[in-house]
Amino acid sequence: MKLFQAFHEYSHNWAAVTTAHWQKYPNEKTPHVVHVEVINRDLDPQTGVLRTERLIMCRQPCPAIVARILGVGDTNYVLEYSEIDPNNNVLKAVSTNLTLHDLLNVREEIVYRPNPDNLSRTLFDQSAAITAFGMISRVSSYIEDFSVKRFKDNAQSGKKAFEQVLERIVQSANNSNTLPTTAQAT
Amino acid sequence: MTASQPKTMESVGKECTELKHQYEDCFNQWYTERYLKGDYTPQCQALFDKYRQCVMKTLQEKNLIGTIDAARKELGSDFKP
Repeated sequence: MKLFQAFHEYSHNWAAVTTAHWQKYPNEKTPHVVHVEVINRDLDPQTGVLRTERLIMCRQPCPAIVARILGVGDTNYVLEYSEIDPNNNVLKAVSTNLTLHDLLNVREEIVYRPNPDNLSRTLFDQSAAITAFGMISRVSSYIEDFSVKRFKDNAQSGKKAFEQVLERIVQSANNSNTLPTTAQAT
Repeated sequence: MTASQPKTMESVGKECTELKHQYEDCFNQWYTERYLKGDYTPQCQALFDKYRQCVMKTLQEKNLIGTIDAARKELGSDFKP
């Protein structure tokens, strides 16, 4: 298993950042993400906890050797489950790949929460565990290294995509006064 | 926003695309204007039901329902297929 971890602080409040979480796609910076579907969603009217399942479809060619070992096409499905707790201002999302799940498992966790020292800023934690199964260890290790590199590249372009959407949301909210101005939702 | 920024995304089932956009427009507006301000009254359920029904049909045709259900347990989700 290989681990990837990243941390970032956004200079916008939690309300804007979580709005961008829903509006990130489609995005020219992440052309490999071709479909994002909300397949389940419910809301607890008492607590306000909003739970969502999204199915994300990516097109991404693997290098020939990886494709040969794993026998893959170029279409990958990812399932994401998220919970928003609006009282504590936490958005947590966990995702895993559906395609080739038993051979190569990528499990990602992300959390957005306000910076406790400055509620106009948002902290972002990201971690991914990447595990290749059922191969001799040298091959597993090669596949894992490749996958970590791919994950890092995607995380980079994903962050750029996210920031672009975030700026757009903040701009338009400033014009129309629609977003709450602090991280506090209630 | 740059000129080449795509504004809309097709649904995995082409015939669901219009329903997807109607639902997402409703949700995005509700999220910023209601939910984030502490109003937890659901507003887009009818649009979601129509969109979801269409997508699930497509996913069934692609034989993905079982795969999704196996993965959701690992993610701590207790949604049903």
